[in-house]
Amino acid sequence: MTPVADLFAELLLSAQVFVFLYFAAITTITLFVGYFGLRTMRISARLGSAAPLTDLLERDVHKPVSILVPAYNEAGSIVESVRSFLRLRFPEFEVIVVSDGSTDGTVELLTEAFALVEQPQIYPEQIRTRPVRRVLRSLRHPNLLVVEKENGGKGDALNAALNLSRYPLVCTVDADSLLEPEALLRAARHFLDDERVVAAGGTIRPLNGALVHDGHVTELHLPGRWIERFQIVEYARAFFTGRVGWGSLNALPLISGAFGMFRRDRVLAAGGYRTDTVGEDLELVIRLHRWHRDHGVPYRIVSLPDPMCWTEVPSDLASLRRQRNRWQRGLWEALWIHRGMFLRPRYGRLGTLSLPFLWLFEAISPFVEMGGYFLLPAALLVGALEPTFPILFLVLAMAYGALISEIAVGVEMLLLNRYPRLQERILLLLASALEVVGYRQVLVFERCRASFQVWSKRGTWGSALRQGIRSTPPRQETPAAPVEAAPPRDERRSA
Amino acid sequence: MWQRSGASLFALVVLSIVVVEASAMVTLAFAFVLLTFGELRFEDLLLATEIALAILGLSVVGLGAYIVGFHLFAATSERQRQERVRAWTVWWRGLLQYTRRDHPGPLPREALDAFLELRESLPPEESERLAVLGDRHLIAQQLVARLATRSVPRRLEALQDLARARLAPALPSIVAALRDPEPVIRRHALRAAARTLARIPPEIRAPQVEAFVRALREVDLPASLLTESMLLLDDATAEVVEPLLADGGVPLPVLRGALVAAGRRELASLAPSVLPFVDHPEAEVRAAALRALAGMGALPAGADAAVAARVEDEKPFVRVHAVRAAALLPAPAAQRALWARLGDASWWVRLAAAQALGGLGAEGRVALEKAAAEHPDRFARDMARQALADLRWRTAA
Repeated sequence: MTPVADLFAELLLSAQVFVFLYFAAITTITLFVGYFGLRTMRISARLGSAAPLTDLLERDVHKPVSILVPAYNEAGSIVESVRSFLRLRFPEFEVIVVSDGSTDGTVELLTEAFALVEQPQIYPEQIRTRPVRRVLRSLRHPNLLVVEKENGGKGDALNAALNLSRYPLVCTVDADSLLEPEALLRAARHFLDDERVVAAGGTIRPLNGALVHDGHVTELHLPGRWIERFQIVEYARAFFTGRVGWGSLNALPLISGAFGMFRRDRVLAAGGYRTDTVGEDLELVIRLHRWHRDHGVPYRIVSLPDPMCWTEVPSDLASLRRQRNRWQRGLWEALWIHRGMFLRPRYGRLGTLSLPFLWLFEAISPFVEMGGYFLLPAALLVGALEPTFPILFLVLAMAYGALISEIAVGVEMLLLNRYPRLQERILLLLASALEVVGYRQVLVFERCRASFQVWSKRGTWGSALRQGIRSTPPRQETPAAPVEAAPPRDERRSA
Repeated sequence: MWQRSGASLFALVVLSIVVVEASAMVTLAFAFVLLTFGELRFEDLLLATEIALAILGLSVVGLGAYIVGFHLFAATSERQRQERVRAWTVWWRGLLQYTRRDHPGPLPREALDAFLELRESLPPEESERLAVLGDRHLIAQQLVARLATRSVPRRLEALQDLARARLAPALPSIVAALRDPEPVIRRHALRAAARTLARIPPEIRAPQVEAFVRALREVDLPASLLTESMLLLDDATAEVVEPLLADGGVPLPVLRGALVAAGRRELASLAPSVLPFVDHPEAEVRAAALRALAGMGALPAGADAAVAARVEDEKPFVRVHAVRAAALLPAPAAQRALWARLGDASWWVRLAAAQALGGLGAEGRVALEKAAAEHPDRFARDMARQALADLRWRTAA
């Protein structure tokens, strides 16, 4: 070989060593964080019994909750979702749906289903939002409020809902999600048990394949498409290897927008949701950490392993890629906004552990993984490695991925008792093995691509193809006569 | 939804896999580094990788087999367990109806589960007879014995069962757990103690109440949880709250918890004890005292001036509760105070004032209409109009 070829081979080998060490680090950390998560879940299994929840309900010691539902063109699922929210087992709550400039008849469907009438509201505009066109209330459900506003994005819609909310706890929920009947009770319980808790994230699971009746999941089946099954494995893995473990260390960086409960006053004090990012949920949680640390206020942000929320996941590859593209851009945006917290001990374990983890193993990992995929054949081609090794290494990497998924799926099936049929469990185990071949690489590629689009596609969401929530037909609800039809007002003053 | 039976075993399996795989990964990484520095032959690295892969393969296949095996085993064992619980339920019922004899020796776990189910589902009188039978079979002692472990999940499980069992002989051990270093254990011990104390007849519970109050004076738990425990005491709430309010030296969360519980339970007899706290230096305590007075539905003698003064407290959240309590002042004073607070700088105080006026019946409604038209503050007029619209909407809905 020529000296140049030698140098190239050396470089390739060094790159391979880097890829391997990186892979070893991420796998080992993931396994250990996952194990800590499992330990926390063993305690949660004891906390999740019915008695403390019943006490909360019967003794009237809860803190009331405002459920905030941002909706943009959600005609396919909004009525079923709102119905599920209204039937939650909780003594005092309000549901605030914000239609963020929907053009598909979302508000009309809600009006028909819940007998909405216009009812002007005075409220303190503590966060500036795009103009609110009108506020509607239900004649059948006194705790339902629907807001129609100009389009301003999810963060803006959530801010509008925050302005209108009247209760000390707010629960953000996606409009295409369904909540477990006891979701609010379980989440609110944590705010009662520990007054330092300022935010609690719930467990999100794919709804695809489930049967829904009266706004609740009655039967859980595996969906027919493998792309949906792979996402079930992914959600289980993310929950098991990340959320619970980081939450137990008070270093949880993300509470999913699909279900999260917050202390309203703290969200407002931190400035509400940012409207210039597509990762508004991640950004808010990091900012809450930052606000509390900067102001020296004791706090806890926790992840709850209890089943909470079902959400529809993309059922086609194009929608899935768009979603993951958005998630990766949101991650970069949030990390860049809070780059000043990186490795700063004053931000506790978030600054010294979980943010570096996000930078090194979430933001950069697609590049390293993609680099590994290209380097192996390249090293083979120039003779830097003997042919057996790249194949062994690739199989090893994939098998580690499969093992972590398998543990997560095991938690899902054995501890959470989901997908009880043996055939479905075997299929899920199979999905955890197959997910690392093909599916994973497509998403890694998309995440790499997204990283280059952070600036060019800033704030762009993109649409997703959804199936809509399947349900038995709801009971016919007769619209009642409207009361006073007052002209809309937008009169506000800060408290 | 949670399945507890397999959790420990599964955690052990996962821990073994984590340790083995992490060790393999670290060894392999070390081998790779040695290769880079020329300290290891490539053949050795290859061998190490093959061994790591073989171990990993075994882990993947072994875990998969364990999951499937556990599924098959759990389905059968759970069915059998439920059958045994059903049989023991029949036995307890038989014991209640004097058709069965006592069981010699300690009862198995399924008998305890059946007892706990029945204790919660039977009508109160029968449930108390069951508790007596439980005493005879040393159920309390068996449950308390389960507290003597270092495992937090197991102690939690024991405390939850004790909370369901509500057996007086177990109370001293539960109260002792209030000093546990683990907050989660203290929380559950508090609930279990309150639920148990609530079931002890009033004529014999004075010593237990005293022990519970003594423990509360030292317990490190949030006010909201303490309120909950005091509400769980049912008719024993007043007996616990009264000495806590009388003792000026209790920790602030305990004081706040006692005040809120007094209000929630509408313990009007304690109103004179609550009144001094309206002027407490801590704003949270002032708010809790005002909230308690508002909850009691009537102000004690001599409270008018203190409440009227608090509607101008420096803290908005105290003013919110003061405004609600001010609705209980004599009619002209109440209307005067609420009218003034309709123009408060805080939106929440304005809202509370408008709602309080709306709650005063016809007179309040007239005052709201007047405020909507004539109040000198524009924001007060808006809030009054909003309150009136809400009242009309509520009537229509």
